Formats: sequence, structure tokens, C-alpha cells
Amino acid sequence: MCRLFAAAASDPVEVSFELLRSDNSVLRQSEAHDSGWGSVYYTEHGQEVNRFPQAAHAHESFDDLTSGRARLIMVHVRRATIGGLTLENTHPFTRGPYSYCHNGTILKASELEPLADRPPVGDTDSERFFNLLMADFDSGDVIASLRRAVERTCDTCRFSALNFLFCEGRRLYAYRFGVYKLFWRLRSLSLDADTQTRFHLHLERPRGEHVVLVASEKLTEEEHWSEFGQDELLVCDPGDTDHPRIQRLLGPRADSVEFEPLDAGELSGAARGEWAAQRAATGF
Amino acid sequence: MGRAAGGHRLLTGSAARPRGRRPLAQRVARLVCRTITRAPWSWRLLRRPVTRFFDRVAEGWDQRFASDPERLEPLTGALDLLQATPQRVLDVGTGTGAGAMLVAGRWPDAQVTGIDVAPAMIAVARGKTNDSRIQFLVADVATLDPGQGYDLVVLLNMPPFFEHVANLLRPGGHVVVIASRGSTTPFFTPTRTLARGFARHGLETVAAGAAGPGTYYLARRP
Repeated sequence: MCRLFAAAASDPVEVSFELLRSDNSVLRQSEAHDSGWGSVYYTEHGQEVNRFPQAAHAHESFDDLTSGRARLIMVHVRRATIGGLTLENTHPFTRGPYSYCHNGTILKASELEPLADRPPVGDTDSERFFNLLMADFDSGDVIASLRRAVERTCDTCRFSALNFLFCEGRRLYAYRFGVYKLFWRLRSLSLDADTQTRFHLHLERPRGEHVVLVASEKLTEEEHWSEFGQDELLVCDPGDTDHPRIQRLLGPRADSVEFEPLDAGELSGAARGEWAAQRAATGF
Repeated sequence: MGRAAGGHRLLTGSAARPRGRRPLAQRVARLVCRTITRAPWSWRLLRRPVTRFFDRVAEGWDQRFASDPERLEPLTGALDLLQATPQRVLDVGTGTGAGAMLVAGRWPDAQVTGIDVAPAMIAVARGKTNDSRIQFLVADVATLDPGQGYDLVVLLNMPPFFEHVANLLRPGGHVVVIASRGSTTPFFTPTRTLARGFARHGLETVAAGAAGPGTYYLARRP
């Protein structure tokens, strides 16, 4: 269990409202998802990747490190189910320009290792899926690569959810498949969300500049958030945020996949980390 | 974290900057680091006192600093960004070898060389491993023969030595600069300075960030 957040915008955008001040901000979500946090911002100066095996709400630099502007942003707050509270187990997982965050639990994920191109550095099921995805990744056809990795996981393991965010520096990919939800919405880039008024909406919307937001939980109560259907992949090009593309990844095959709802336990903090480390050690 | 003109952020580390004056040792180290960064020729003059200092503190270095496992978290964070497995790795200013051993442990096929100007540090490092893939040498990055060049150069809490490091990299090779306690690290160089310095020698910035208590910077030779 974890919480995902992503943004894709036509111009560099800052998302501190969504992260810090909205009704159900990512910072607030991190109170229950306190096993670590990480972010990746794709800027004109390269990637900025920050990862910490500590709770975001208790981390003094969360505000600072997430205050930058970028066209593509991913943030993850972790609630450990497999693997202790170490940096190696903290999302996003990265390799070259690629980065990935996961929400859900894959059972017996060690069975994915023979399909991957390298052994995991940490203990998580999520990293094993990422190594599988990267094994024969085709940068010319990202969607086919994602489909192949999800299909192989369905063939090999049971899971509660394979909700993930993926980015290769050009587009944002967000996928929902499992018991956990995922939402998205468009926000006008020019609006200051703190002072949003009807006047602003009328004035700013025609400019056609939007930021696409993706989140595991609705971040605001009054705005409309669209819920992802099962097996739906959102592909968003920052150059065309007005028209994010949504398609099914597996197609009809997805309808026959049964998910494995898991009791994620009530533990928090260090106790949760020890519990999750123990689970990893026993090959959960 | 501050913000520079043009919106480029400067990573200054996750550790809060302590109020008041920094400890004397940290101020001296910061001055040495800045001097070498801005005037690389000064290393010829500073090399001898720096060597003497690290020879003196080699015994007990691990107990004082390297025993904290979090110290290497930013190196782990930076290495996670490498796409290809490096074959030849150089750890500049390896000290007692913690960084070199982390890299060797991560990539079983990598040949890792750790160099340091302080013989006493290298003696401690050699006593810690029998792994034939790791060699520790008393050597200076400014005069090191690049041989076949390196896929990865690691600078863990070191001044950046822009020109020398750039010359040691193979095409496609990476340099990783780590400040294991962010801006409070004695030998700390801000990200913007690193990006500018390596760009002057033909490298491109790939990534920067914070991981655990420290910060990292990653650049690549095209």
C-alpha cells in the first residue's frame, strides 16, 4: 500500500498546493503512509530524484525538496508491506531516464527475478517488477513494454494491485489494475488553486493550458476527479495536456484476473518497517 | 534549498544548516574545497598538508565517521540511476574504502580501484577486504594515468577535480559526486557549481538529488 501522485504540464509547474495544502494533500496522506517518500522532477537540467526512508510529514525538507518546477513530476509516499524502511526499498525506482512508483503488493515476487535483467538491490516486490519491466524495455514502444511486464506478472504472480506511475522523461504513464483506486483531473495551469474563483476559471480556462494530475486519493473535495477503470492506462504528453490518452493495457484478458486483497495491518512507523522486513525475509 | 535565477534549484542537502558558525575543522575543509574547485592549480600546494592531515586521522576514521550506515545512502541513491553496469570504476579519495566496497558489492563484474593520497588510509582500506576485484592504491587523481578510462568515477565527500575527472571518463561514463551530509559536509560543492564545472569539460548533468542525510550529483560524458 502506498500513495501515488503525478503531474504533467505544458510548462514547468509547481505542485505545492497538491502536496502540502489541499484538503487531502499528499503530506496528509503520508501520516498513514509513513514508511518513506520519494520524488522525481524532470527539469531542463536533468532529473532531480529525492528519496528518504522516513515519513514525509516528519521530514523537515519535504516542503523544500518538492517546491521546484517541472513539466513531469512523480511523488510517492510508502506504506511498507514487503521490505524494511531502507533507501533501497524506497520509491521511485530509477534507471537512466526511467523512473517508476508502485501501489500494491505482488505476492512471491521473487518468482519474477528469473525474468529480470538484474537482481534487486532491495527487498521489495515493486523493484522486482521494475527490473522485469527494464529487462527487455523497448524505448520505441513504451506501451508494449509496459503491457509485456504486466502480462508476465499476471502469468507468474498474484497481486493486490499493480497501480503504477512510469516516466521516461517525455511522457507520463499512469496505470490502475487492482483493488486500489487511482484518479486524475485537469487543472488550469494559470490558476492559483488557493485563490480559485469563478472569475479565475472564466478568465483563465480559454487559454487552454492545463496540468494533468494523477493521485491515489482525491486531493480536493469540491473538484471533480475521474476514477481510472480497471486496466486503464493514462498516457500524457506534456506538450498536449489538453488531450491525455486513456486506453486499456491488457484488454479483455484483464477481466479474468483475480486480485488478492491483503490485510496490510495497522502497524506504523518503525514497527511497520520491522514487520515488512520480516515478511521480505520469509519470502512473502 | 535556495533558488537561483532562471528557476534552477540548488540542492543544499536535507540536513538543516546549523545556526551560527560552523566548527573550525568544517570551515577549513570548506575553504580547501572551494580553493581547489576555483583554482585547481592550488592542489599542488595543498596536497601535502591534506595528505598529512588524513594520514594522522586514518586510525580511528571508521569509528568516527564510516560506522554510520546512512552515510552511504546518497551513493546508493545515485548508483540507482545508472542504466548500464559499469565495468571499470574509480573511487577518488577512497579513504578507508567504504565507497569502493559498496560499488564492488553492487556489481559483481566490476573492477574497482580506490585511490587516496594518504598512505595510512590506504593501509586501513587494504586490511578490510580480500576481494581481488578491488585494488587500493596510493595515488593522486591529478596525476593518475587513465589507462583504458573509467565507466564510473566516484567522488565521495571530495572536491570535484573537474578537468582530471573528465579526462578519466570513457565516452558514456558517469561521475558521481556525493556529499554524505548535504550542505554540512566539510567537502561540499553546490550542484550549480558542479554542473557548470563539468559542463566546461564536456560533461552533461544527468541528475541531482537528496537521499537519506546527503545529496548527490550525476554527470555523464556523451
